[in-house]
Amino acid sequence: MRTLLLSCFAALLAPASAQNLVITNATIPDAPGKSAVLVAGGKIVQLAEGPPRVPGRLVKLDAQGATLVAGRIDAWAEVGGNSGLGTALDAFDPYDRDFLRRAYSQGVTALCLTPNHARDGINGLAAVIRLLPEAAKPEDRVVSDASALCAGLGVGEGALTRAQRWGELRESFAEAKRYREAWLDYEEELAEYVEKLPATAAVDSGTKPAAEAPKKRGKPEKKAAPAKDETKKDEPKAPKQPPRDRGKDAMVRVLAREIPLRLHVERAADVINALELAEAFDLRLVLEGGREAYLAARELAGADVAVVLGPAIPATVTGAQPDEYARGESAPRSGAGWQALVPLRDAEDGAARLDAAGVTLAVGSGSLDASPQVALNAGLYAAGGLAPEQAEAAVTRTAAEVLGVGAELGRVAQGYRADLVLLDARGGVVATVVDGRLVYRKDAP
Amino acid sequence: MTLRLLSALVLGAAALAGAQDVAVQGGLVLAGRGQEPLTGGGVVVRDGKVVTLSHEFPDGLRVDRYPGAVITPGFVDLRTHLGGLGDLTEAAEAFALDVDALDAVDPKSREFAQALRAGITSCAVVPGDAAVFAGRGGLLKTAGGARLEGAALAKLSLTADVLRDDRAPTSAVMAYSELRARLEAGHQDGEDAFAAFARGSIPGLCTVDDAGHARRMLELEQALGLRLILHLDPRPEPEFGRLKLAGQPVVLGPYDLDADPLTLALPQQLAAQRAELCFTSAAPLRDPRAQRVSALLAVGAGLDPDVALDALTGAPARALGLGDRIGTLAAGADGDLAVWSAHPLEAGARLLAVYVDGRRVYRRPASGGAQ
Repeated sequence: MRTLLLSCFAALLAPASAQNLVITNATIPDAPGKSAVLVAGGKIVQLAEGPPRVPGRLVKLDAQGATLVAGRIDAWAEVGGNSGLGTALDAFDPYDRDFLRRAYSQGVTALCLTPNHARDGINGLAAVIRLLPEAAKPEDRVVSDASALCAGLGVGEGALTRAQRWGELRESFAEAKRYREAWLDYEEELAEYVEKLPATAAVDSGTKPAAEAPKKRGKPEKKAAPAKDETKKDEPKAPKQPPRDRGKDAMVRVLAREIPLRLHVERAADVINALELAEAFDLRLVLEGGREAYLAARELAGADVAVVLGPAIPATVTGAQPDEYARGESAPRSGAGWQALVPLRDAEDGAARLDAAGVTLAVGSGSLDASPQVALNAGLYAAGGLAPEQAEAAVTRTAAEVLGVGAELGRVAQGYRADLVLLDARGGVVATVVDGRLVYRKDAP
Repeated sequence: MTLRLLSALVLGAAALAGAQDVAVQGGLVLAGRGQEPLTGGGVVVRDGKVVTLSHEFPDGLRVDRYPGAVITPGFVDLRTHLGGLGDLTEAAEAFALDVDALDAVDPKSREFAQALRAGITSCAVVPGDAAVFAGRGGLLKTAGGARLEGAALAKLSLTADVLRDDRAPTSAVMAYSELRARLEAGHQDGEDAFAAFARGSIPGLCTVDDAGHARRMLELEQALGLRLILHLDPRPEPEFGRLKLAGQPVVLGPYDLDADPLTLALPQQLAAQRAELCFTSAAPLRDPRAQRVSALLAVGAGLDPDVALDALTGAPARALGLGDRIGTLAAGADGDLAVWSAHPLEAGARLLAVYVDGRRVYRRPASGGAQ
């Protein structure tokens, strides 16, 4: 077994800002021909063919030929609880050391936190976070606080029929569209109104200039200043502000194509319905789950909709009701159990078929508890037929792109975050670096 | 008509016989514990049995080549309910002395084919955990469901699942006391499953959900000369790591991807004291691939990949006293092989083909993504 040489020309406890690191003798698939990476300020500043000569305090890590890849990203770390309005970010404890240790030991350095789908319908915002060690700057943790607006369909409780569920989701988007239009109208009227006000009035009342009030998302800071002198009948009338609705505000961001709608669906019929919804409301769409998505691979590719795949192997044979069968005592073959459920048409090579059709694929774990094993999960998709390099990309580069953070995470390239993993020949994690700090090293035998 | 039928039979028989003589060549043969890995060679099988591992093959022998592939023995899963026609446990009886699970198994069930596609070539089909003594199970080949004659194991359980309100035992103490009393009663002449286990002629797979019960069973094994295979319930139990299990067959799993670190550290801890680890999928309650996934998770938590491979092949076979017949590619063993695109304890390893008794019973479709 390979042991890493870590030599330290400066105290390891150097101030947070002073952590510079150089990794040498690495095989870097993202940068063929290069073998060394220089890190400063938590970012990759240079890729070199040989050991770079850098003056100053520096931690050196000799990879001894190990493969250097970007830190793994779990594109689907579902957390407990959802309010329908909030963000999954609030349900995560960034100081859970046991969790961090597990994640680092498997090379996982970032997560997309998503609200759970125990309820159908809109379930809140997804966020992308890096798993920073405590010494790092907390403000570097959140990469995106609104990666997508998440909704579940046909996977949780709620409406009794799929048709009703779809109807409700469509209706809620139709309402959000009306809400958005009402605000856009209001902002337009407000702008006209402020323009018509005598210049002095605006200055006297201390309100902001009219040009700043209307926003794409419709968030004027304050109510327009009421005219002070109400006796003047020919004064322009201030428009009435529509009521504020936080849930709809998030949907407005989706309608404005600012963030995608991320829809958890498993069945092929629901995939088609999702594509229709996206077209009807001109949304950017990302699908989550998609166990049967391979049956609609061409449609997905045609619409350029990415899929975030979940567990490669369902928790139970039926892929449903994991708790009831978790103990595995006996398979209920009769009665009101799983016979009532229509099993999903699962295909071992489903991911490979999606990839062959040109569908963009990310792989997630499906739950925060399983996040540390997301690379293993991606490997199981490779075992099912997905090209190994696509499986690796599905937890690094492509995952970052699907989550909208592709300019910062997912690659070993200049300017990217120094969240890196060294792998041995069998793909086992030898060392993990987060924010330029060595956070895990496999023990020498 | 008769002639056509006859010729079809003859042709079929010829094809069958021919297929049992084959050499299977890959990049690396991992033949099992105590066998040197063979690079670039293959496995020679005649009449369904392994003859030798070699770089050269006899003239006229069919050679199936898998360039770069890793060949291992077919996997052996000690705890499945595959093919069961309904529940294989009679929970109304705490001691089902002579139930045979195989009486309620459909050997042509599609579940066996699923297990085959997970690399499992032999599986023990046993009753579940809801009775203290739930009867016996047997060993089946997943290709065709043929029973391995003479291979049997009893199924016991000392878990919360055996306790019921409507029959004794309702308490753990009663469950254990009655089991002990019955075992000590002596069974030299009995012909039922319980008697066979009590006098040590068949092994017993005993599920426990806490370390205390495991220790009591180990004491009974010592005192009464039983053949015990412990199955440690996959739920987290910190005390399991403190058991002394050197040389003891221990069945672990199935583990899920969200298994806690405590549970995943256990295989490595037990391997360090040389327990005989075996992984199970608990199929069909879990996907049969859960057997390999359990081993992969254990390797990710530090278990040696060679030990993990043995835990999928040789160790479960030895636990049943079949260590020279299955779970190994030593000369004389059954020609049960799994052919992988890489070491099966790399997550991305694909199953390319499976042979049972020298017959190719599974072959990966040419290109899954191309259609």
